[in-house]
Amino acid sequence: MRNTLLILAAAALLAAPLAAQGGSDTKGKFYFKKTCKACHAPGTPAKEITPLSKTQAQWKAYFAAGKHKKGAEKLDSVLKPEQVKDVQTFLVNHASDSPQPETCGG
Amino acid sequence: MGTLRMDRRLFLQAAGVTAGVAATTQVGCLKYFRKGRTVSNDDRQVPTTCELCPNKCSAIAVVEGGIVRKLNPNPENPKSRDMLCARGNAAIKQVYDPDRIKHPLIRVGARGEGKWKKATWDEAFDFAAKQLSDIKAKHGPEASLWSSTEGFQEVFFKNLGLAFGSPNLVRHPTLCLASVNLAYSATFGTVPSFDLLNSKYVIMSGANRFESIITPDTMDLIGGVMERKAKLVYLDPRFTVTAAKADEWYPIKPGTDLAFILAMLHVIIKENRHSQAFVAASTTGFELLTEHVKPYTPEWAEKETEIPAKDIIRIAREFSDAAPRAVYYAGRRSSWYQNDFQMRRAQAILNAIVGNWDQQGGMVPNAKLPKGEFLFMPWDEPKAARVDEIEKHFPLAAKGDGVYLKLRENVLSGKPYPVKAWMVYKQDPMNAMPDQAKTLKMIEGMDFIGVIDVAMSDMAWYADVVFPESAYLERTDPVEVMAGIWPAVVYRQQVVKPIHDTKPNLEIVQGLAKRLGLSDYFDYTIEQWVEAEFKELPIPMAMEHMKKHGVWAASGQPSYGKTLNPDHRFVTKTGKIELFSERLKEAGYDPLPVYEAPTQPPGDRFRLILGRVGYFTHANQSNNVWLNEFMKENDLWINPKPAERLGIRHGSYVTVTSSVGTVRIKVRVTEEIRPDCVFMLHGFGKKAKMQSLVYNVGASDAALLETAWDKVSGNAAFHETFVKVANA
Amino acid sequence: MAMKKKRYALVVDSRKCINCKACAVACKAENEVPVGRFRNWINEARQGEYPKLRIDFEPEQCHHCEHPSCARVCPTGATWVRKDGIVLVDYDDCIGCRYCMVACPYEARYFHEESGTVHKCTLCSHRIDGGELPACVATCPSKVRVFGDLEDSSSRIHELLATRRYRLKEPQTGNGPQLYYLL
Repeated sequence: MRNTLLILAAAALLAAPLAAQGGSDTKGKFYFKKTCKACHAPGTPAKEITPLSKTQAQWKAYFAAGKHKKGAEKLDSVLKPEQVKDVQTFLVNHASDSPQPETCGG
Repeated sequence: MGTLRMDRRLFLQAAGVTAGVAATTQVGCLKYFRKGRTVSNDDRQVPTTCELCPNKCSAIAVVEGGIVRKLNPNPENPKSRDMLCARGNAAIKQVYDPDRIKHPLIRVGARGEGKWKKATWDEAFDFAAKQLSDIKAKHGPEASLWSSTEGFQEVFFKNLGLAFGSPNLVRHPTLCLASVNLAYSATFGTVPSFDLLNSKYVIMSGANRFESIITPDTMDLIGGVMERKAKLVYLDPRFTVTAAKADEWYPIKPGTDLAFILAMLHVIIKENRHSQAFVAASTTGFELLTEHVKPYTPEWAEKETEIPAKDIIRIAREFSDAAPRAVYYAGRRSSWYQNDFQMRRAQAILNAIVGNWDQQGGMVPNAKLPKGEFLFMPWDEPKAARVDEIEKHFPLAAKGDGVYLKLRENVLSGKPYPVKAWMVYKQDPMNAMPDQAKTLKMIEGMDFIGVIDVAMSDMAWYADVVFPESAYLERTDPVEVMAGIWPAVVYRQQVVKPIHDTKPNLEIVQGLAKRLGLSDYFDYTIEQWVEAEFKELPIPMAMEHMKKHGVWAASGQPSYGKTLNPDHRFVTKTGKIELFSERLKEAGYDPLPVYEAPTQPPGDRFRLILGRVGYFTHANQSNNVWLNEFMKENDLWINPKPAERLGIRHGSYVTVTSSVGTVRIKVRVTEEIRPDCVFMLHGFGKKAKMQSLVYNVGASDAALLETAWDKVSGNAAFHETFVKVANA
Repeated sequence: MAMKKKRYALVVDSRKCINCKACAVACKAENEVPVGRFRNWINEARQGEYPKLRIDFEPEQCHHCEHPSCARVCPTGATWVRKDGIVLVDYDDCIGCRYCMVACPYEARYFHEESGTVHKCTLCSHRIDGGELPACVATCPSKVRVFGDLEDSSSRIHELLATRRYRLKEPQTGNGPQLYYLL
C-alpha cells in the first residue's frame, strides 16, 4: 500500500510538468458533465466515473497519459484540447484526496 | 350557569352552519370562526422550507384568503424534529412588515442619509450595470466585491460575480464557523455531525445551544439531558440558559478552553483511557501527541482556566468512560480568539482518541444524497488573484469563502489592487463585521454599492441602489440536499405571490446580467433549474413528491461505522485521521495545538463577550414585530462587584468604549457573568431608519469590536476586545 | 352515537423549557393575538450569587379550570366551559366588563381593544376539533407541553400524571386548575 502511494506520488511529480495547468474549474465541470457523463453515468454502458474515482495523483497521471477507452484511443478524440485542460483542473480539484475545506451553504 | 351552556362548536357543526351565517356576526366572532369559513377561496396549505436561519426546517404554510396566516411544523423532516422556533413562526411578519423595501430604490442624498428615489426595475438595473461596467472598464473586473450569506438563491449571485470576472467572492463563514470547519477538516478530512440524540456525555465550550439558536442539536440535547440522563458539562464565562440546564457549569476564564482540553488529553493519555484499537487502526501521530501533551497537566490548566484540577481529571475520566457515546461538541459561531482554530483542533483530537468517530452517540460523518445540476454555460475563470491574498496568508482556508477581515484591510489599503464596487446579497457587513467605523470607511471608498435584500439592513441603508428581494414565502428556490446523520432533501416553493414590487434573486441577477452582456450564462428559469435538480434525486416521482411534501428524508436508522473499515481513506494527507496534521506542518502552522495564554484585560477594563438569543440570532430579525416584543433593547451585562466599584446602577445607561468606538447602552447588573467580562447581545443599535423598531435603540457590538482574526482560518476573533465602562 | 366524556388538559415539563418563545409566537399567529398581548407566556425565576446560580422557566397560559372563577363572575355567561373542559369566551355575549380579568388568579386574560371583548387561550379548540394539536404544543422545539384527554387512560398525559409527581398553581382558589406542572 505504502509503496503504491510512493509510486503514485513519484508519477505525480513526473506528470506535473506535463500536465496542463490553470484550466477553468467551472468549464471543466461543464464539459465533464456534458461529455464524459454522457457515457460514464449510472445506467450507461461505460463505467461510472466521478471526480472521486481517483486521487489527485491518479488523475494527473491519467491526463499525462492522455488515453481514453483503456488506452485504445486518445483523449483528444473525445474532448477538445482546450477542454482537456479544464476537465483535468476540475477532476484534480475534486479528487478523492483533494482538500475540500467545508463551508456553510454555498 | 356558564358551564351549563350548550357546546357551541358541536352545535354549529351539527347544524351545518355556513360561512354566510358566521359572516353576519360581529368582528371578533368573525375572526374567531374564520378558519375554513372565509369568503375568499384562496385557502391552501403549502409545504415549504424556512429561511430565517441556516437550519432549513420544514414548514407548512396555511394560506387563508390569499394571506399566510400560520406556519406549522412539518413532521416529515427529521432534521427539523417536528418543530418551528419563534423565528420560524414569525416569518409571516417578514412578508407583512410595514418596513419592507417595497420597490427598487436609488439613493439621492448622501450615503446613509436615507434619501431615496423610487425606481423602476429597469432604472435600477440600468443604473447598477452602468456603474459596474464603468468600474470594470477602469479597474478591471477584480475591482468588484461580491458579498453574500448562505441561502438557496445565493448560487446565482455568486455566479454573477464569477461571470463578471471577479475572484472576490466573500462569504460569511469567517464571521461564523470557519475555524471549526477547518479544524475538523484538517483532522478528519471532513466536518462531521454530532449524534446528540444518542450521546451520553457532552462537553461544550461556550456553544450556547439552548439559547442562541434553535436547531435539532438543541432539541436532541434537551431530551438527552432531561430524559435520557445524558451528562452535560458546560464552560462559559456567562451563566446562559445552557449553563442553567447543564449538570456542571464552569465559568472558565475567557480564552483558556484550549488549556482545559489539552489537560483532558493529558489525563486520558497518561491513564491509557483512549481507545487504543481505534487510535492504532485509524489515526496517525499518536506518539507525537503523547509527547506534546505531557507538560499540559491538570494542575497547570487549573491556573489557566480557573477550573479545579480535580474536576478536570474527573471530567476526563468520565468522558473517556462514556466514550464512544461522548462528544466534545463543536458548535456554530466559533469565532472568538486568535487561536480559535487550534482550540477546535484540540477538540477534534480529543474526540478522535476516545474513538467516538462514526459511532452511535459520537461524531458521525455526514451522509449525502445525489442531486441533479442544471448545466449552465460556463465562464472563464477570473484572471486576477483574490484581493484578500488568501493563498498567501491563509493557505488552508476555503478559497470560495474568502477571509472577511483581511479582505477589508486590503481593500482599505488599496493593495494589492483597488476595489471600487461592492455588491451585497442577503448580508449585513455593517453589523456582521467587527469595527463598524472601518466598514464605513470601506463604504466611503467605494464608487458603487448595490444591495439585494428583503429588508433594509444597515448595509442596504448605505447602498447606492437597493434591489428588494421577495421574501422566502414568496419564492421558489433551488432544491437543497441536507447532508447529515439523517440526510434529507428540502424544497422551498412559492406560498403566495410577492405582495410588493419585489423579485426573487435569480431574476435580479438576470436583470443585471442582461445589461452586463452576461445573459448567456443565466439563460434558464428557476423551474428549469429545479427540474434538473429533481432528476437525480433518489426519490420516485421526485418533483411530485417534493411539491406535495416539501421534504424527503431517507428512512430507517442511520448506519454507523461505514468509515471504520481498514481500507477507508480519510481525505487527509496520510489518508488517516491526523492527530498530528501533515497539512498544517506543510503550511507552517503548529501541527499539534500549542497553548498560548490570552492577554487579560488591564484592571480598569473588561473583556467584551457576545452572544445571541434564539428568537433573533442574526442581526436581521430584531426588527420583526413578533420577536421584538421579547426584547425591545439590548443591554450590557455586568457583575455586581465591578458595578458597585464603578457606581453603576441596574437599569441606568453607561458608555462603553473600546479602542475603535463608543456606544451608549442600558445596564443589567447581574450575577450571571464573570466579574472580568461584560456581555452584550447582537442585533441592536441599527442605523437604518427603515428598521423602525431597533433604529438607534440599544447598541451594535460591531461599533465596539476591534479587528482581530484567527491565524489559521482567518475567522474573526470576536472576543479579543477590551472595553471601559462608565456612567453615561 | 354516545359521546365518551372528554377532559382536555396540558401537562407541562418546565425543566425542558428553554424560554425560546416559539409557543408565544405560534399562538400569536394562530389566534391573531395583538402585539403587546399574549395568551401564553413564560415565567422566569433567576436566583443565586455568582457562581452558584439557577434559572427556572415556567410556561403558562389559561389553566382551563374545572370551576373557573372567571366564569362565575361573568354577568352575561359569555365565559363558559365546553363539555371537554375547555374554558371559552363567547364574543357575542361578552360585554367587555373585565370582571373575569380580575377574577382569574393567573392573569391569563387580556382586553382585546379592537373587538371590545376579553380574550384568552382557547387551547386552540378550533385546531383540536380539526384533529390538530394546540399551536403552542405543536411548535415547541423541546416538546415541553403534552396535550391530551385526562379521561383517556391510554393517553400520554394520563400516563405522565399517573407516574410522575406534579404540582398545580394556586389550587387553594378552588378553581380546580388543569395545567399540570411536572416536578
